[in-house]
Amino acid sequence: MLLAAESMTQASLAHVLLLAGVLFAIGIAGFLARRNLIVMFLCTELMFQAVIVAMVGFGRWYWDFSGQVFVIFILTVAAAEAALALALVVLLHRRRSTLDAESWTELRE
Amino acid sequence: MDPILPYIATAGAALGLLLVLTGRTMAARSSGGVVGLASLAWLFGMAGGLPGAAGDVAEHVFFLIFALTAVASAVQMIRQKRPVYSALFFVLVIMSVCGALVMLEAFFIAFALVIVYAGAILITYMFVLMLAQQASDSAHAGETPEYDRSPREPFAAVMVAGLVMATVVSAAFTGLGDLPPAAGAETRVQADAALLRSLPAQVQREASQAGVSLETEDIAQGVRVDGDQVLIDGVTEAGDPTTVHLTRPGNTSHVGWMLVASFPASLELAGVILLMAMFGAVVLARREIDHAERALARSAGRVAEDSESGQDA
Repeated sequence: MLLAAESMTQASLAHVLLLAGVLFAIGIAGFLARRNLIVMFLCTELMFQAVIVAMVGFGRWYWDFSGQVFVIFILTVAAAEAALALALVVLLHRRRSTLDAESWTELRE
Repeated sequence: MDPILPYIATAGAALGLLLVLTGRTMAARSSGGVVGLASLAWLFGMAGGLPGAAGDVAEHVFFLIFALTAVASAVQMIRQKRPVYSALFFVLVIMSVCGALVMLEAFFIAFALVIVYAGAILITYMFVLMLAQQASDSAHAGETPEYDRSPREPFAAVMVAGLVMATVVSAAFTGLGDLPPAAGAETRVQADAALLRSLPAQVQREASQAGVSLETEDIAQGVRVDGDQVLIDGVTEAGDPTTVHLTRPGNTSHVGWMLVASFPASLELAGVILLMAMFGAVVLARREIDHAERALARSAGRVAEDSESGQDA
């Protein structure tokens, strides 16, 4: 199996794309439906996972490794985002001592 | 196949997700899970099946098992009322996605995801979750707060998710035929040979380990492809001409070489982003809320609580 390098069938590319789509859709549903700030950020990470699956799938389809290289950049951005977002969440939590996103609705005005 | 069928399956999956999110009884939630998973299985079945799968059928079966686990734990992740369980189910999502990536022969990325995501990022999330939960009001200790128990606009959220899903479904069912055909084994061998041409020192080392001295001064010219082998001509110590079969580079060599050779500027930029994120996190975390502000915050919190309980009543 290792490095067998069979060409990928269209069915398996469709399956990869469907897996990516389902994970992304669940991530969006969770981001919109949940009210806990930290779980909302977890849902954005879920959407990152979906994009990673799609990139690696297309890279495998063409035997092009730049898809995987861009996964490394996604990983970087995800790590930076997690560090900053969690610092902000801790700050917000210290002010209101709640994680409810709706306690900050006045920010939109 | 009727072109409308995939969209019906998508709608079924969305209905299942809605039931899982809003169902009041255990029976409603589990029937939602069954409906959703059945619709997804139908969708995957319509996308083309195993009988026609060229290559390794076992690989395809394992991919589908990992995909199923990933989707099921992703649903659990957005459904769980305790955020710590959400984080743990997300670890399970990452593990299953990594399994699927191994089936796509992206080994380095799969293990990097386990280490960086499941090992580092998720631990950070867990720390913040526990920090936040410990600080919550002790009167309701052990009870999940109201904002974790009731979803916000679940119907609209599932509608949006279903629309996104329908877009991807239309791409997966009608768009893939327009793609250039998949690259086969020969593309991979050519990529391996191209990588070895860029790494003459490695070719030299491998040849000298085999006791062969290379006759061509310019190794890049000598590396050639024969079938699924990468070869280079040389002479043995006895002076006979011979051919060295070079080890074909693996996934990690390809990713590493492409990272430094094709995207050096992006690599530098990634380093700058990480540095800036570190500075930002330190600046944000060190910010002290002074006492007057903290008292204000406490009263604001009480006001917020009062207004919320007023809404509930």
